[in-house]
Amino acid sequence: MSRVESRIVRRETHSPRTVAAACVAIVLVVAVAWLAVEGILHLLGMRPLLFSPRAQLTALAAAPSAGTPLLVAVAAIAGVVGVVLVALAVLPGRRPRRVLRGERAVVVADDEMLASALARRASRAAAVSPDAVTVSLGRRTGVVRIAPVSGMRVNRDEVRIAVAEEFDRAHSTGSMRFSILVSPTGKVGS
Amino acid sequence: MTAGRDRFERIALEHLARAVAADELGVGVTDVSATVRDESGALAVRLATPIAVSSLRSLRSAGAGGVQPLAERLTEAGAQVRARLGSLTGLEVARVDLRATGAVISERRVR
Repeated sequence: MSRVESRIVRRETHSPRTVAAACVAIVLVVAVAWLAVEGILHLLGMRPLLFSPRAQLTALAAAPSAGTPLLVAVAAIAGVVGVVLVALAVLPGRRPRRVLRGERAVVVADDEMLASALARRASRAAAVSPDAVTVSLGRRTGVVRIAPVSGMRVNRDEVRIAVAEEFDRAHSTGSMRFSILVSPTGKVGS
Repeated sequence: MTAGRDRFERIALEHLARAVAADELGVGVTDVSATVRDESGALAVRLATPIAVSSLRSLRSAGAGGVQPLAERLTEAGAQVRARLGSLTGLEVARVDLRATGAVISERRVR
């Protein structure tokens, strides 16, 4: 896979952090610009926009005596914002998509689409209606839930084999382990 | 891979159970009522049906020897219904509960 392709794949399979990055950048730019403007206005001897540098520093020095509720509120908000930003920065932010091996093109498939294909195959293997099967896909494991028809036992190994085969046909990179959960109660005539 | 999928609706199963039970007990299909529900993945059938019995007059003439007790007949009929439903539909029938709601005198009337 060429560098361009792997870059495209990365962009498609990971959630972009542009919004968060842009927000942080805008806040920082505004704050720094305001400080600079206040400094220049003070040097020129003009009236400050909000606070002069001296007033800023005294306000900062007086902050610890602002009263407990305010301090707690500010600390809590700052903490939450900090945790969110660190999480956004550190977590991989994977989207529920995966790369399929194509011959001439880069193929990225939504997990939803893959899951519905697997569900259709599982419903055929288990001889139940397509509505009776739900498939959820994780990155390495998938869960197939089947509500059986009353009086017809579902062969779980058969379903597992069929689902694994269908998954292999998608030529996904990486392997999957499927667990088949058959509901203990069936539905009459479904 | 099969082309399609066959299924028995609940109402079809109930009609079938009624027909089979009526046949086993010698009563009319419309006299029998049936409900089919799920029991841990298998079918459970509940039947409420009258049962055909010989008239007392014919019993007297036949003597007490050849008559099967009613409870025994019900049990047997339940087992028969279960087996026949299973073989007709290919589904697993876990249980058949029979409730006798009355008796139908089955001897031919005097003309």
